[in-house]
Amino acid sequence: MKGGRGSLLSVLPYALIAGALLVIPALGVLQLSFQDPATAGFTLANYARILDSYYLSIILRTVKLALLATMVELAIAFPLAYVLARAAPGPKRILTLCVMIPLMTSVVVKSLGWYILMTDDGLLSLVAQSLGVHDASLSGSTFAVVVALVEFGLPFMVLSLATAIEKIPRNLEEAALNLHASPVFVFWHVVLPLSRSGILSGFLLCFGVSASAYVIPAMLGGTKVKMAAQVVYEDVLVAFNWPGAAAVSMVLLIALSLILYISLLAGRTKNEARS
Amino acid sequence: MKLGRSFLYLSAGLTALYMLLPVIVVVATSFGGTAAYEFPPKSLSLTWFAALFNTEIFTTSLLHVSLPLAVGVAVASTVVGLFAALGMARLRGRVADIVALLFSAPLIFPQVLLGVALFLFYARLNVALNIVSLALAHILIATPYVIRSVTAGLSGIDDRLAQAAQNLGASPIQAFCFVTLPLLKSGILSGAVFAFIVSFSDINLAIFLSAAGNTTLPMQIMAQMQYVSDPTIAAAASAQIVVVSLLVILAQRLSGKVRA
Repeated sequence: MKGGRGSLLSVLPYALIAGALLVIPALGVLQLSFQDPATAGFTLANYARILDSYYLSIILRTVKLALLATMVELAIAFPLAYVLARAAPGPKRILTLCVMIPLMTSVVVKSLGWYILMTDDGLLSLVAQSLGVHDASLSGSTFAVVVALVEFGLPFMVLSLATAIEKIPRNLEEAALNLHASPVFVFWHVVLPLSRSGILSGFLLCFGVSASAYVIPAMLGGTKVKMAAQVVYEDVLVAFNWPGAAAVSMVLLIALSLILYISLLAGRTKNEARS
Repeated sequence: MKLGRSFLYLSAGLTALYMLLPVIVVVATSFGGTAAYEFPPKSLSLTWFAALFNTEIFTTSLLHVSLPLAVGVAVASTVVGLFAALGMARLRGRVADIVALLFSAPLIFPQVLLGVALFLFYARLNVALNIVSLALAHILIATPYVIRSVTAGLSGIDDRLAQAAQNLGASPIQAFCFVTLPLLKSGILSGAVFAFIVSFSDINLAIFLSAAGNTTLPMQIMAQMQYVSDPTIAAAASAQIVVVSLLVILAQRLSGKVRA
């Protein structure tokens, strides 16, 4: 093979960076999670602590809110993803910008936008009050956190779905329509099944970013709507309980990897059943 | 049929609006005329932008921390990512799979947890947090964007062009510098732009890794937000949006050229 050693040499710098700054620190977290904060001996106490109802309720809330946000994203991202995938080059450029700008803007900046809308006299708080759905400020409510989480994940979901929809040959839809299938039927029986890869990758991406969100619950959730990443933050920078933070990080990582694994497995068996 | 189409476009438009809403709110608020957050603003003024440029914490964060940091990260990630992409294109088999997995891991790994892992890693090695430790972490998460856009650029290049140059007497290095590199230019540049934005917008790593004296702009916005409601913060956030938007438009123009 020509240039085999040259190729290895050329990937080496980033391999070293990823090894030193990702693999080794991640292994360090694993090791630290079994370390006694006082004696530095082996212990399972850091994991046992998470079984306390305070931590359990935060982890359950994190999974629940992340799932809810991801499901909402999946539902409302589809029409935009479809229009984006099928748009003519001109409108496509503009639509892509509408997705890329929110995607690349700092999450702090976007949280500030939601904060302005949801403080005591913010527009959304006033609307909610006049409709009688909510009596006071929306800030600090689960609603505020979910609205911001959904918005945060939407660009990821739209891009994942659009990439999959672009690959569906247009004639498949046209053929079905010519055979007098209704557009709704075409959506359920042609577009939706064929965009499964996009649904899967969008689901995984969005669930991952929502379940590990820190800034959004910290800025909009007040004291009541705490999520798992905040526990990690407080353990590390407030309580200086590093082994505790390591254990919570590991639980989150394992939960995310399990979901990744199960979804990939589910995706594969369905594919095999089909072919 | 027609009703279905308009329903499709309407719901697509609503989703796009939802996605853009916080950005619109921040920009509109920064042009407001009152001393409190006001959306929609009842009067317009440039007061908060004037205040922004007279507020040292924000100008320092923007001009002396975030911008130079993002430039440094973009340059370093582009060099590292270019070599990584060129190498990856030639790797085959098991090694190629392992490298591909390792190089996509920084994109998949939850950023907040990466921040914690790096904080603990630096702390246990007794490495003091400074701009370099943050820059290294940013290079870690920005390089995959360079790899992706260079790889996309490479797939559009005919290998035979460099081969032809070599047949005509060019050395492999000459063929690379004068044939492959110019053809890759837009892929490299758009990768660099994305690497810049990744660093410039990052908060999840900065929460754990920014030290006193080098507070990035997103960190400064978050810190100030917790103390006061001041439209100057919205103006700082608008500056973030303007830089990111201009660069996203630039990246789109660059990658548009690649496709054509």
